[in-house]
Amino acid sequence: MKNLSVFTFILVLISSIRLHGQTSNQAFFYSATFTPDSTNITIKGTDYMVLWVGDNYSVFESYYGYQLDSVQAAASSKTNNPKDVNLDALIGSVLSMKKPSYKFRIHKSWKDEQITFYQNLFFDNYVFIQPLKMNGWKIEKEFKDILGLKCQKASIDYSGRSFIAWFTEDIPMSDGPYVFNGLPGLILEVKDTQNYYSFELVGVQKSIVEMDKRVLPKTISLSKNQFFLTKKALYKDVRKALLGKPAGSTSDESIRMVQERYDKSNNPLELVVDK
Amino acid sequence: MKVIFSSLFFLLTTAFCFSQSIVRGKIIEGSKKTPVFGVNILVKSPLDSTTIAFGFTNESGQFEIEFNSELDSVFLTINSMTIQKKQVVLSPNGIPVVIEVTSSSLDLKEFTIEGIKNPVTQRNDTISYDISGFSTVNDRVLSDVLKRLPGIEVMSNGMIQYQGRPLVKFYVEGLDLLQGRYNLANNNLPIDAIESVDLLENHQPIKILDSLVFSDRAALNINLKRKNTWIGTGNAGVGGSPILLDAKFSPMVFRTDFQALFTVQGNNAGENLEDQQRNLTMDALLDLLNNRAIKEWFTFPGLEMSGLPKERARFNESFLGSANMLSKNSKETEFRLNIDFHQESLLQEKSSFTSYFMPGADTISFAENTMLENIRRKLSGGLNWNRNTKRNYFDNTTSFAVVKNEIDGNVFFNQNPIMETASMPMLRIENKLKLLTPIKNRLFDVRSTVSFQKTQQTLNLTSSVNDGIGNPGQSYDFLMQSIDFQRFFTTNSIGLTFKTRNAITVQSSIGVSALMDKLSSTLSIDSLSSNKLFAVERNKTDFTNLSTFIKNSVEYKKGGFQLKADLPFYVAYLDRNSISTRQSSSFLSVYLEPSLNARYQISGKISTSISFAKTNEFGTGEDFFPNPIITSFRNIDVNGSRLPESVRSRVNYGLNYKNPVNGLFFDLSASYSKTSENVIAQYSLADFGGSTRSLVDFDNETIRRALSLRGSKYLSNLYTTLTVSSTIQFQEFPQVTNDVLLDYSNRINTSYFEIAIKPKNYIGFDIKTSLNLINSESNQSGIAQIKQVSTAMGLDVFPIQNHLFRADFEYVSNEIKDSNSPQRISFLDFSYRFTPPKSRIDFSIICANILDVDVYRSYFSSGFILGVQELPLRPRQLLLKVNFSF
Repeated sequence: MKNLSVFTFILVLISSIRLHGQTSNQAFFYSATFTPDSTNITIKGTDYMVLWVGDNYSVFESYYGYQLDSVQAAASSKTNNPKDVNLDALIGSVLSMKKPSYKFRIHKSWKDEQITFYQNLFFDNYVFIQPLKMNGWKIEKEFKDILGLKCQKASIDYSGRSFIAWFTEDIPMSDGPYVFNGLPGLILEVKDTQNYYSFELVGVQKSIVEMDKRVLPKTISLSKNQFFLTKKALYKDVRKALLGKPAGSTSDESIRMVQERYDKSNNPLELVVDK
Repeated sequence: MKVIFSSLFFLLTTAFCFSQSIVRGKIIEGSKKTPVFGVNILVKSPLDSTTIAFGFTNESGQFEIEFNSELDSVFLTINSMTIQKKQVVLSPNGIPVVIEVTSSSLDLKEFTIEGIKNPVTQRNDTISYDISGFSTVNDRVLSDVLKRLPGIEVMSNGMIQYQGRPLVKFYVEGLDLLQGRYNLANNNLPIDAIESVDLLENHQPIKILDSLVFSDRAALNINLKRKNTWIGTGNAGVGGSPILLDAKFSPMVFRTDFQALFTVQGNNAGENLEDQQRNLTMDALLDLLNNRAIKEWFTFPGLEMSGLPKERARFNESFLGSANMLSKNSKETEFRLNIDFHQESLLQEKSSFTSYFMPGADTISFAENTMLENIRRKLSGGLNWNRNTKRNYFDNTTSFAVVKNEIDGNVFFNQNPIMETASMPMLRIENKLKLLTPIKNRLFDVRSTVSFQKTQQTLNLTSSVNDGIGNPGQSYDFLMQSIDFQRFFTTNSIGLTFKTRNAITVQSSIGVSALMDKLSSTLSIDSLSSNKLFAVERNKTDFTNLSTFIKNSVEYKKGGFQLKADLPFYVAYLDRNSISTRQSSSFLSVYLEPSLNARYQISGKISTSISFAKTNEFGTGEDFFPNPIITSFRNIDVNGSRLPESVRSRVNYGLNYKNPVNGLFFDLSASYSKTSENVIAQYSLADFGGSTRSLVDFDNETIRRALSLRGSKYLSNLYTTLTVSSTIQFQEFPQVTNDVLLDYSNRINTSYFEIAIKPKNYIGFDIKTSLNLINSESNQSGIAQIKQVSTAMGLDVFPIQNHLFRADFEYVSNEIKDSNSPQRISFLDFSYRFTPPKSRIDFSIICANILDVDVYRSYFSSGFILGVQELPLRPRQLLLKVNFSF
């Protein structure tokens, strides 16, 4: 047992050393809409996303999720806040907050040329890595004005959907919402051609955020393909996610209803996963 | 490293015959001559400045862009967030160029589109715990839905757990009306009044309260659609036979400054209503260990039987009334008042045949048939005053409970009739105060509990033909015993909590506590034959435990690693006096209760934990009575030993593996404990079955070991979960039986195998087979081997919406080794529910014990005892119920 704790200490030390500071200097806010059920496209989900941008590094996540985390962080940084008082005092502010729809956090690193994709599914956190580079952007000679910035049209096929992006050379960074990147200017708007998924810029702010803290803890590492297969399997059959919970704690009928809800979530952004 | 960062090109929509052009080079910062990474390079036509191609510089500042063009010169636009935009003219001939740029940061204008500006102040609960996503037409009350929220488990007693841990708080509209007695809301709040449920926890989706201490704590808040109006639920049920009634009415109102919940319930259908008012929070569970409740001195056979749910054997008439109110004023002050009344009348029959295996192969056996009428009434209430501001926290609760517990019974003991009546009333008054205030980054707390408890219990036995009770060799006609016991308990502490920069939290407290007990008992025995009252046995004792303590606790948390170490230090002064026997003793004890807890999440799939704890426990006034006390018509207790002290050391280890990707789950836990005691139980058994238990001075040890394994595999294609579990427990302890010291051991092995098949629609099926093996032996001989096998099957059918059928079949076999008469029992139950669409009423039919099994029989064993017992069961019964909400 002694060995184990020594081992844990070493592990903890290593993990703390590995953290190198990635701080953002800009925040780009996007409003996101999605269509979870392809059989009923009138149901639209929304979220408020943020792209934290720093030196050759960025993080894309739900701003609502970030705010909830911040409340927690504020609580833990104030050592004079008693636990019980905290709970009572914070409950109000937390209750009035919006909750995130998108449970992913996408880290793009230009140095490592890779995207680290974190996502929570049911009771566990997962992570996978995919190459940063997106092949196949077609830049078209079509322009439009978004928020006073001159934007150019570009298109790409990604994960079984065709996307139209509008980028601006006036913001010379090769980034964008979700995993999108690789254009000679920030993507201010991206939508798939069926209009199921969209991200539109709604705000810009200077903002310092420690981006390497915007990860999910205790993750299970998978390949990209494995992750989407797992997600699909869990959505298809939520009982799989309940494994390890005491038997009989959830009734059959309950599971069936939860399942029905997940069955309505049949239209993921990633239709096809490239291996 | 020399990989060109990016080069993309596209075609102009013209009919030129293209030729390959290349621009390549390096971008360096002008003054420091350092390469610049991640610069956008745009190749533009000098004719109309359209972008022909683009690329980015790599880490060494290099770029290479290939494109098709007839142009003999192009514009290069060089730009990034960290440099000044620059434009150069270049011939695309592939000759490397070095371009110097000037550092500068691009200042983007800040803006936010109106309407999206301030998401915090808006309210929108469309996501995960929006109740509409989880509720079904069949749901009536909150608990129906709560069970199915991912991560939330509702236990059979109503306790809500989130990820295996009990809730700390249960709020309705942000106010804690019920203070942990949330079954009242959970089982009565109509579903259509609920907008959403928020879960506040230290993990996903809302992180909160991960601040000072290990926070395995979660709270739940219920948001309502229908506020400021009376809402509620109720039901009415009739059935037979005999005539069954089941009714409930629960109105409630929730306003921002006032909340109230009332409920009136009654039934004679086997349901115990006491669970409804139980406090189910974690704090309450901890309090239960520390509230020093006094005991009922007399024991009677109860409904506990291995493998039998109590509802099947409970012949009851139960009534519950509860009123709960909360008022909040503008100064963040809340007042709560609750009054509960609970009454339960039970008619209880139990038969048993017990054998005592004596050292030297003698066996004493006796038969016992009991018929009891038990009426228990409890009136309890509390007044709470809570003030919670940013600067400080004040909480005071004054509570009381009055219990009347009357038992009237007849026993046939080896065919001899005995009449017994007992009364065990109790009174409890308590005040609890908690004050928290921050002073300079440190948190001070003051905690104080004061309680007074009192009981006056009597036991009367009539017409015993046994000898041995009271005076050996004497039979009696009347026995009267009364016990007066009172306890005063207080514990008070001041504490300090602070957190260092490196993830360490330190908690220290200092305090005093006092426990004062007074016991007096009299025992009178009258014999008509000898026409004299004799043997008045009397106890009059008092006991005091005054202790002062210093507690220090350190917690460390980093990444997936958590460590908590506690080192409480106690100085206790203990004093006992027996006025009747003129014994008196006192001594001072100094002891430590160290504990250590470590948990490590090795990866997303594996976690492990280890803990160690040592505890010291002293006897109280309840353990000191040099003269006999009758605890039942066949048991006498005498405790004239020195003050009992037990020291327990315990080590636990746990390992948990979960892989949701392939649906595999595995859990292992092992524990070992050693308890050293300075006194031992000595049993003197008389031939007719009576026993005297006395504590005598003798140092001894009890060892307990347990190993538990559980594994589950989910087969996606078959919609099937397979679970295997096995637990082995060993216990080794010494006991003195008729002056012979023997080492006994108990081994209990519990294993089960479960298959649950649940296709998505129309039907669900599960089967669970479990095996219990109980092995008792002494170092002289084996005493018993009991085998219990049970198989339970459940079938759910929902052929059409709004209709739900469920059937349960259960088979239990109880067997004892070397006996050829295993006890086999089967149960069959059925239920059906119909909910008319869009209505606030539903109907259900519940048919229990369809096979009309009249009696349940099982074996029990412990130490030198082996027995068989039998309970009559509720007959086949049918209940028609109407549930409504408003």
